[in-house]
Amino acid sequence: MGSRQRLAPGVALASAALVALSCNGTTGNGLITFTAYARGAPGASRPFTAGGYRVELTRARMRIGAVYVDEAPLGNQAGGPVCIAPDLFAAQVPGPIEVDLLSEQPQEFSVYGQGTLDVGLSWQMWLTDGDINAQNRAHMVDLQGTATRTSDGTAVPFAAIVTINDNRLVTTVNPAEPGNNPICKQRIVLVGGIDTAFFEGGKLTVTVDPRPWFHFDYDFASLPPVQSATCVTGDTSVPVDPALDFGDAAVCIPNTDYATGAGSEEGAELFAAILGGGSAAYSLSYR
Amino acid sequence: MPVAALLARAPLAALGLAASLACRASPAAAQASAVPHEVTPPSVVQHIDAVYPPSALPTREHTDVVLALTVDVDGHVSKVDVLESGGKGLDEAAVVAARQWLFVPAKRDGKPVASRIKVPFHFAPPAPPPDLVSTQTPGTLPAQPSVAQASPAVAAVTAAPPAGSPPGAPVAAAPLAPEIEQVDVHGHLEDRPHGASDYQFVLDHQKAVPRANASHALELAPGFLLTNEGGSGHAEQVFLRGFDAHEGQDLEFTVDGVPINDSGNYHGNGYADTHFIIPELIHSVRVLEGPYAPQQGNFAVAGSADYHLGLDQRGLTSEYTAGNFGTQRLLMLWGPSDAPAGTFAGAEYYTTDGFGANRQAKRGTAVGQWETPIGNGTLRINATAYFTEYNNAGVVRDDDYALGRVGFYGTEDPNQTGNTASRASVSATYEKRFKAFDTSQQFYVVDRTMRLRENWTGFLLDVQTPTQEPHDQRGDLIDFHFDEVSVGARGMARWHGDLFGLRQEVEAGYFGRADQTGSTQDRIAAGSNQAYLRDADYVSTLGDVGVYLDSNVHILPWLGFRGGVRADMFLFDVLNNCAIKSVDSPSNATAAAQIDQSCLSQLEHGAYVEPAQRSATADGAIMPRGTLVVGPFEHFELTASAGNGVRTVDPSYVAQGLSAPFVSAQSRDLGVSYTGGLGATTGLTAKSVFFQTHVDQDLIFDPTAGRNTLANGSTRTGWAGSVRLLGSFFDLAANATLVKAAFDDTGLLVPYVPDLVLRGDAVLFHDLPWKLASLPVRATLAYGTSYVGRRPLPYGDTSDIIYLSDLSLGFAWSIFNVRLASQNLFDVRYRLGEYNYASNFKTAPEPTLVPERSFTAGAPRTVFLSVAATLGGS
Repeated sequence: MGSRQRLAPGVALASAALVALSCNGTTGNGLITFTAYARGAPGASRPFTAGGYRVELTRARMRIGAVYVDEAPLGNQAGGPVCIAPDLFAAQVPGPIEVDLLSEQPQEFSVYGQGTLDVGLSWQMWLTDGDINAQNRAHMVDLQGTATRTSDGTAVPFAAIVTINDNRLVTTVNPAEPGNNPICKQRIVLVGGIDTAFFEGGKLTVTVDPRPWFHFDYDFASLPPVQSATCVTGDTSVPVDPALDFGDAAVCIPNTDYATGAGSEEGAELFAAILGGGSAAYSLSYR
Repeated sequence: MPVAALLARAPLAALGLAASLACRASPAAAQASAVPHEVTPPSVVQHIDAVYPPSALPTREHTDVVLALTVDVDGHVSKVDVLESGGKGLDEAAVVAARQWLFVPAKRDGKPVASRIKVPFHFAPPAPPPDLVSTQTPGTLPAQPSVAQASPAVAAVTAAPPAGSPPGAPVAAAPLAPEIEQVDVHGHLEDRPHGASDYQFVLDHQKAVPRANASHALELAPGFLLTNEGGSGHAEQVFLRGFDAHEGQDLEFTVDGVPINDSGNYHGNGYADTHFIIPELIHSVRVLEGPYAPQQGNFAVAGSADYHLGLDQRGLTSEYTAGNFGTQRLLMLWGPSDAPAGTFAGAEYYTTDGFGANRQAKRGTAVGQWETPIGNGTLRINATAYFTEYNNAGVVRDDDYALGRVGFYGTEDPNQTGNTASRASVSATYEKRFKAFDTSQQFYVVDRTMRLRENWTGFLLDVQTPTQEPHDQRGDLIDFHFDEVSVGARGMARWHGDLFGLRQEVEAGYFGRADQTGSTQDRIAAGSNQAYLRDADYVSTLGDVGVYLDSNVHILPWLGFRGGVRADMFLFDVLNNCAIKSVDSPSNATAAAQIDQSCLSQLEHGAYVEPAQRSATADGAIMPRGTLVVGPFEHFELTASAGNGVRTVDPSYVAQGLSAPFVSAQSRDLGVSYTGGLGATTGLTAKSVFFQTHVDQDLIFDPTAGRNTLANGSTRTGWAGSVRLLGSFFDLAANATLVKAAFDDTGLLVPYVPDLVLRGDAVLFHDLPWKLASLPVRATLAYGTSYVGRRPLPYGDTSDIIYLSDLSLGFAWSIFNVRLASQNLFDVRYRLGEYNYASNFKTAPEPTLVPERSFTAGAPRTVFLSVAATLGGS
């Protein structure tokens, strides 16, 4: 009996220790949710110089389909022509927003963001309207403004519409690699240079500055008039409505997704600038 | 001095040689029986060890006490007579122990009858515990499976007149009544218990507790959580004492010694599907939590589970069950009344629409077993065939459920259909006892197939590669096939005798198994349901040869050692038919012909390499295992166990020179057991075990791969306790396990493993106070409950708590049996499996690439009504 009495406290103590032991610990990391916003860069609505022109944007809208923050730095992501990379992603905002790039006010995405308590080293902005591999007619970028030639003060109202469909496909050089450039690659803006730690309840902000898109020396005066065939707005099956799509613009930077001919070089340059704008045009913060 | 007080102070000495003993039939008695009756002797459900009296310790006597027990129709010992005295103290010790034994009553012509059996107790300090009964009529009836270990001793079993008749006079004094038969009783060779974590259960009354399938019988042992993410024909995922044993990868499953674990299954090496076991045919289960017995082989990392089949209900039983969700089951069981429980046949057909989308299932099982005495041994032949076809609901994402895109019992991918599994096996076991040896030899052949279509990630993993034509995400639906032919044998010889005045045993055994397996895994395109990519194609030849030495050595009357050493040699010869799956820069000259091929035949720039590559490795492991036994003192026994176990490598990891016993575990236990009684007719057993197990390489379920992948070493520390109380009208069992499982390098918890598992099973049974047509009505009420604490999930998350209740109510009258059973009685909506990982089922336009909670739904309330009739039995 005595031994039992001596044993009981020991057993109770051991049991209590085990309870404490088992109830502690974690598998590490954590899942988080956060609010996500997009906005224009400060000063984007003010005039800026591009080549020989002084450009003032009156309309700059961009459709962002989704945002993904990769834990791998730019260039170290999964190899090959991967669009949905088998990487680890620290955060995502899997829903669209059509953001007014001339407004510095944060505009909330249509969905909350989710993520893990990890650090993102690069991020992706998907210029999509739904399935990134599917056909779509959405305008990813709508621009309107006035370019004033600094040499003589000639004002050129212009507009640009950017869609991304099959004509954006880059021809594969090696026939043995037909899958090297799927369309989804033309819809993903890759940006590096971040070292962003995510935590519960933060606020993710994507800032888009359209001004770097105009670092090419556009000669706005020589762009095709909006009434021309090269100023199509998108899918040629959709009737053109210049008043709706181009506003009061006189010329357009052609949407090379559908147009060829005059001005297509500038159109290709604009698309390349949008896709490759990098950290000059796009930034991400999480606070 | 009162006997109880004596017992409380005395160390345990000899244990009786149980009722599983053999005697020769009396020709006179056989001749006297003018009208043959079909008599089934009683079998032990619970035995209580006798305690060696202190008065005998000075002389350390080896003495036999022979008792005559009167077992009433309820299975209780109503009277004990001493036939051969070993002295007052020893007589009292034997009587006290015997009065606490519980039996399945003897049956005459299928009806329970009172009976008298002769039970010799051999007192030798210390000796093995008593064992349970197996019986056969002379020269014709095969042995009946026993429950605990047996010794090759002899007992006379006489069946008293039918119930209502006065008990016979003491066996020693009275001649056998004309209608009384004598039967031979042969013991069933069993392994010795190896520590406090060695649990052996006779299901008996516990069969009344509603259980989904045979795997859930394991829940009588502490620490089991069984989940199922693959459908009702898919193996249960087993969690045990901090292990995520997956679908058996860390737990050695056997049925009467025949392996259940698949070797070389790409879905999970060691996958163990127990659905071929008809629950009604489970006589007992032995669960050894930890690698402590040298008999345990491959996969016994977390432990082992061995099912013993037997049919207690003799006669021809037909049962029809109908329940909600379109569930129907037809069950046929046959056990000749004049044959022991080891001879039976059973067949079932089961169909259900399932409780939600993609949960339809059908299965058919047929099993037959025949036991017959040959010489002084027993031959047991078993044949089993099992086939199933089922659908698989897979996981549901929490956000899809929350937004109403997928129902709680819905499915993300309705194409997870057409799953099948089969098992056909033949085994033969011959057990023979010599004067100083017990021997056993077993041979088996198993043919296994399975097909599984499951989709855990939706549209996430189909990565566009340069050599493929541009494509959309085609879907991650996996179409997995596996086939295996396994041939093996095992055997042992056990010597027993007295050395240094103490009883000693030494057992030497072997195990051999050869497997020829094939695994393929393809990915199926959504919409077309055509295979578009081959993930894996393995053909493997696997071998395992094990030898072991086990002992049951008594150093002092109160100090013993059980254990020894085991050595296994494993062989892996793997042909990977799809070794080269991608190339970064194929040669232009030949690549055109390879576009979209899954298994390529070249590497970069024309450096030709065959797509099929062969790897082989062979290696062995030596695993010491032992248990130090101290006591018993005052019905308590202390044990300290330690042992190593191994699990072989998944063939997909096999590379030249790789160690084949890929994962090893080191386990330690410190336990205390209590075996005694409460009053004269209630038996109580209880155990408390502290344990720690270290695994050098863990396997963690990777949902994105749909299989288990390697992780770092991990350690589990915890406590398990269990108690079982058996009385004249109740059978109560409860257990609890508390554990912490963490990775060694980071200290982070092992995901998915529950830290707290509680289980309770209660069965009440009694005749009702009134009769129907002069026949008694037997009522059985059974309740089972499970509580599973929050399980750690990846990303610091935790799962929900699971708390479930099951209930059944049955009535037996005449040849009929009616039972109403419900699982998840309170219709709790719960998540059986929970996971955090990235998936994309295209339920929203933009994919999700960060982890999201997904779950597999547990079954809602199910209600089944069973009606059975037994002819030619009780």
